[in-house]
Amino acid sequence: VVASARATLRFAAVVSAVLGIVVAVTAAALAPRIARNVELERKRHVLAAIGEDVPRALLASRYQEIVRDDIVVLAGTPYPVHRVVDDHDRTRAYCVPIEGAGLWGPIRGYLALDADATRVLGVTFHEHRETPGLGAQIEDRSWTGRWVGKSIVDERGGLAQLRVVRGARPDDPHAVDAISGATITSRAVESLVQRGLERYRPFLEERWRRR
Amino acid sequence: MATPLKPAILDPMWSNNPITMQVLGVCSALAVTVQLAPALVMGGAVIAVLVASNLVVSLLRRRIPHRIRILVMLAVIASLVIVVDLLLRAFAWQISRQLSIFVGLIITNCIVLGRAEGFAMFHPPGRAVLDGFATGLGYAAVLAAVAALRELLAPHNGLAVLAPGAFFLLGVLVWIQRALTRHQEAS
Repeated sequence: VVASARATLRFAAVVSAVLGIVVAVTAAALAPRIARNVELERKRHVLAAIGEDVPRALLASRYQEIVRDDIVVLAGTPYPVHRVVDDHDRTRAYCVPIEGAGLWGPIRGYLALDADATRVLGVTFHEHRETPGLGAQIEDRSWTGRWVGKSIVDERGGLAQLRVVRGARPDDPHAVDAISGATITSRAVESLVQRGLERYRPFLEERWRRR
Repeated sequence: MATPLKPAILDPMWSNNPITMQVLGVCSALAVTVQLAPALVMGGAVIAVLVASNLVVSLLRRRIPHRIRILVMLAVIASLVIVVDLLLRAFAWQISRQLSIFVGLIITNCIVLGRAEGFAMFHPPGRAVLDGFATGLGYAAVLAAVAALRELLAPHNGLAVLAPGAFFLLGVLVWIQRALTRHQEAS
């Protein structure tokens, strides 16, 4: 159809409006369901960070059973700490959120520390847009497993700078082998872990003094 | 100008298959075919988008101003893909995570725009829906074949889980099909 400029504009406006309404109504209608899925996914990753692989149906109850969602105030700002407890309500792990900019979008995850807050129990990333096959390996257990056992306390008893570097040996206490082919993602993860630990430093130091 | 019903359904499945004959949609055919289940869901998503976009474009075909027809088609396709992506995230969360960005990338899949511009613009809604369904099925069938082979081969051959392995497999499938149909690429 050859149409006048006015008719063309009117057609474009009507089509855009109708499509916009369809997308908006769908998004609004499905939002609660999607939010529930996102929240379950978050819980799954808190548990995965401490090494627990829980089936989807049991996630909510298991999370409620062993995770206490605490808030700590650091430099006047409240931050969440997910405390994992044993049967006698004794703390056996701390799980803190870590986040920062990745290559294509934000990366969000969890870092789990042992009861002394000195060693890494695990890391997971539940939200990222890294390149499939390259940077997206940050969510694979074959890579997150390399973090387990790393020490966040340096030789002088201060906060260690965890590094993500090519060719780091598995027994290096403060360095993790980078993902080859995903240099920017590896650096992004290094920096977001470092910044996360720095943010929680007063909380961590308090745990170390109690040892 | 109506073609008989049988070739209208069978051609997109076999002799004019979007992946093996037109060599479109190869990127997603390599990316989401590590396992069968996500490949089937991806095939279903593409079928849904193709059917709906062909239907909408066919219904509007006498009204769409010629100069902005590609823009209108893209807007329709993009909206449909967003809706399908939302539905997957609401009702098939795990698989939608495995498919990651590849559902969103259906927007840029040449098969969908190709059928809208090449078929739905010139055919009544019934025919357009049928063509979208058959084309989507042809796409889904190749995805399912590649994914089934990769999942079967994965325990024995590490290459099968990697993108290059999928590329070789798809190449072999194209070779076999073209040998069977004695298809010659026009030079």
